[in-house]
Amino acid sequence: MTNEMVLKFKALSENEVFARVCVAAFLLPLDPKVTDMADIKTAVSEAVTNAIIHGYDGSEGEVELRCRYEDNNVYIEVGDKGCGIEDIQLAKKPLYTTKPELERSGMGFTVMEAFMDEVEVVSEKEKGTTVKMIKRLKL
Amino acid sequence: MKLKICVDGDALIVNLCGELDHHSAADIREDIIHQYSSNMCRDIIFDFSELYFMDSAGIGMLIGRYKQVCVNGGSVYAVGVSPVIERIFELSGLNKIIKRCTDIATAVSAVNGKKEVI
Repeated sequence: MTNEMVLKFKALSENEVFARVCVAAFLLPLDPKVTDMADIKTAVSEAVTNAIIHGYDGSEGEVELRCRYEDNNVYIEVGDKGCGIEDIQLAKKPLYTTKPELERSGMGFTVMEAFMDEVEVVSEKEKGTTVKMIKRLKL
Repeated sequence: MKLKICVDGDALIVNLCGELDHHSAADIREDIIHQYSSNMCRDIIFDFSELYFMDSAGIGMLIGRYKQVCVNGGSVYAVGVSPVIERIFELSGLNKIIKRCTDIATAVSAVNGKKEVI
């Protein structure tokens, strides 16, 4: 079974819930296990939040969310055209955050990496960032 | 997300209802900080039994409250954590700083039992 969707929305924090609920609804035909669904929703929420608060940092912009599945493999891409990440390895480090004043825990990438099977970050300064994630659903 | 807050002795009891992400964490943070200070509480008990989603924004919010209560020699307690949210607790190390109780009543007596007898 194959299916694909693309979603574009404004970089507003109220769209974090919109994004993860859309992905969950899109994946329903695969009848995922509760834990797999929770993992994906959490990872999507992290990636979308990063795009909004780090990629655009309060300025206007759009987040593009692509979701595709082939049999039991789910492919998710969250992209922004924001400021980009200078040092991806540093950004991925647990507890590293550029916004401690917002009580950000610096655990976003750690959560994505723990809950998804593969996480790849493609970023270019001043061009934007795309987070590509794969989840292999348990049967 | 909805917040139900009440006070019992030295404890601020915060019932989290709904989904806790970056958007909602920013909303509830000020409320909790304000209620904690104005009621002169020492500890905070979070009831997770009606929380259906939490991402790393929740970790940040809880670490923030932990730091806040530490100043007053208090603790943060959590009750009713679902298996899904439990994984975030384990992954982030929240289990090392947040005390766990089986229910609100146990947490409240743990808090108020600590009171010094004058």
